[in-house]
Amino acid sequence: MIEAFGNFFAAFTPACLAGVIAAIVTYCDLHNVFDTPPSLTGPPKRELLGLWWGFVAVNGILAMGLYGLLREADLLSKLGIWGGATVTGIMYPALVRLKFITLPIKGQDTPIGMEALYEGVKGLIHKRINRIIGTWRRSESNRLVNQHTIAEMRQQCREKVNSDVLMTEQDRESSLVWIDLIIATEGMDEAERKFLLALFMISDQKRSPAPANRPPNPQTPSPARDTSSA
Amino acid sequence: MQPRYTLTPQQVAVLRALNEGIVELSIAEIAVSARLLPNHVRAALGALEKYGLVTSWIPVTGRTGEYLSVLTSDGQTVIRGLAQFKDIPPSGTVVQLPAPFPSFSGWLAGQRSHSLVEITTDD
Repeated sequence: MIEAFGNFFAAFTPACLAGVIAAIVTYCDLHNVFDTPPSLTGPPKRELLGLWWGFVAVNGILAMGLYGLLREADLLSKLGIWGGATVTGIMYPALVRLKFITLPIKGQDTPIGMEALYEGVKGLIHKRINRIIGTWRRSESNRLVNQHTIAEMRQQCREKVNSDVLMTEQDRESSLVWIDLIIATEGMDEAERKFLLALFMISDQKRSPAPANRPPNPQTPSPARDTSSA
Repeated sequence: MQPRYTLTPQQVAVLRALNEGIVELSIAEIAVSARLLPNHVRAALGALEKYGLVTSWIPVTGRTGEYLSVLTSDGQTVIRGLAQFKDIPPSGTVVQLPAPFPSFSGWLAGQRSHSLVEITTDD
């Protein structure tokens, strides 16, 4: 009985390690994509936490199963028990995208693997999380728009940019030019300007470098505003 | 060989903003993320939709009234091709795009994607 329990523990613990590491990788990936709303409450928060931690848990469990399969196939023998579990957890995002077989479909070799299913489920989870956060973002932006003047919002945006120590000088300059463009460019009403500045205030600064924005030239006619979209 | 896509820096910025958003973004959210004006985002989205790199729609539930956009698989391929550049690539840059579905058999046969993307100047 004790021996059986010991054997089970010896087999299950490395799988747990793979699952924990894969769960941490998944959690970091989610945090890298989404800004967690600080003031979200009630049912939306419960749904967000359920989706978030549910996705993390499912990936952890899948990594445990993947470790078991790789161990059964004797692909981890050179790494040892704990090394194999660690590598499985760290490499889980890549391993789940492996193509297992190539089949000819309509005259073209098409690789088949778990990636389509994984990306489909991941996309659904991300889309739902993004919609919850997006709804909060818009309501929070509207609250800021109603509470502050455009001059106050401009000042707060500039303070946010100048106090961000992780921002490069190029990003800082580009962001400050963008803020002034939003204030000065013709063709937008004040509500739209304030909404854009509010979105900026509550959004994280994770983004790609922007194309060089030029300050507005009073001599240059501004482009006509497109009102055909929503 | 002619490039399949000719993109301006603003269009590249919009693609990157959508890539960071993973799922659909509104025009205002793209404008904030890409540091562009909303009318520039609309113009860029129009061109990107013609290329098939972005798909846009107005949902009837949830975010009703907002124009939402999302990258297509071709758009994600372009983003992967441009990932080697930290900043917006300079004008005149021509980049060969990776194959959308890399396969082991394709690698054995020496097959490569021949799609190119060229960066041009903004209008």
